[in-house]
Amino acid sequence: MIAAALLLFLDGVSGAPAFSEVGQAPRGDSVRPLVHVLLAYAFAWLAILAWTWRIVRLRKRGGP
Amino acid sequence: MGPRSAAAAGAVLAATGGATVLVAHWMVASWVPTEASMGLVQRIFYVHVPAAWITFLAFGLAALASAAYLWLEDERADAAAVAAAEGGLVFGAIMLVSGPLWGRVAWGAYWTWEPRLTLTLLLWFTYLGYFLLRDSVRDVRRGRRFAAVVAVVGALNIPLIHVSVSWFRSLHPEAVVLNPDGPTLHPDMLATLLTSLGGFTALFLGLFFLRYSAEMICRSRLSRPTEQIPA
Repeated sequence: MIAAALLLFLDGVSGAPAFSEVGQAPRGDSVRPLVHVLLAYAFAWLAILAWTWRIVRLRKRGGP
Repeated sequence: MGPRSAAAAGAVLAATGGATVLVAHWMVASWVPTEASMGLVQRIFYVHVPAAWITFLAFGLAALASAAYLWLEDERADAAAVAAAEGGLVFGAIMLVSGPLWGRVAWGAYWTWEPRLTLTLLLWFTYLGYFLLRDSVRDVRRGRRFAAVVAVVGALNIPLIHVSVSWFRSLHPEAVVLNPDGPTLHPDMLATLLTSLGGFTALFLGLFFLRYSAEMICRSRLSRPTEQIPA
């Protein structure tokens, strides 16, 4: 939800239309690509760490 | 494979994979050249493609293990299917989040209902259904068998996703690595991609073995007489 809110906020401040047509990539925007890259990598690690945490918890508790 | 040896192999693989992924991240951040037409956002490629590959690997493993369970009724095959399907859901979520983040900048839209995206989303929901079905049937054995059928049928979608860019009109590009004429990527980009692929694959396999081991430990504890189960 935080990521979604951040994306909507960036869509609003970047000057690009919120939902532009397919094939028309937004131009003249330097912040958003970096934020999208960081969000993608952050989400990947969050998901992997969440799975790791679940596995550790399962091993400790010994039951789902 | 026993739970102890699976856990040991898993820990080694996960540690090696994690370290390799960190090296790949360094390559992405400061070594690999920036792609000319898409710019910075193309760096999502180095997490999106490995996530996609691992999703298909994991769901393929889940289907094979499920087929083995249907045939042999061996509990270890079912535990392996659960571990693989869970990993597939995790890496599938990474693929389904990183793709739209890339697409918003490259295509101008987070999502389009093009064949590859639609089929991939369908695959992810099929394996979500695999877990929902397991837990919704009162008879545990029947639940496992129903879910195994879903895993086998769901995996038929994987080759269709792979060829969808050639068979249908798609925004996704043709294969840049597994191309019949050889890779069409810049050598530095290819090296970064292969490092990332190797690292994430080892990390997935490590976590898969650890999850399998945890599943087997859970089942062995639950199958003990009630008085021996710790509070």
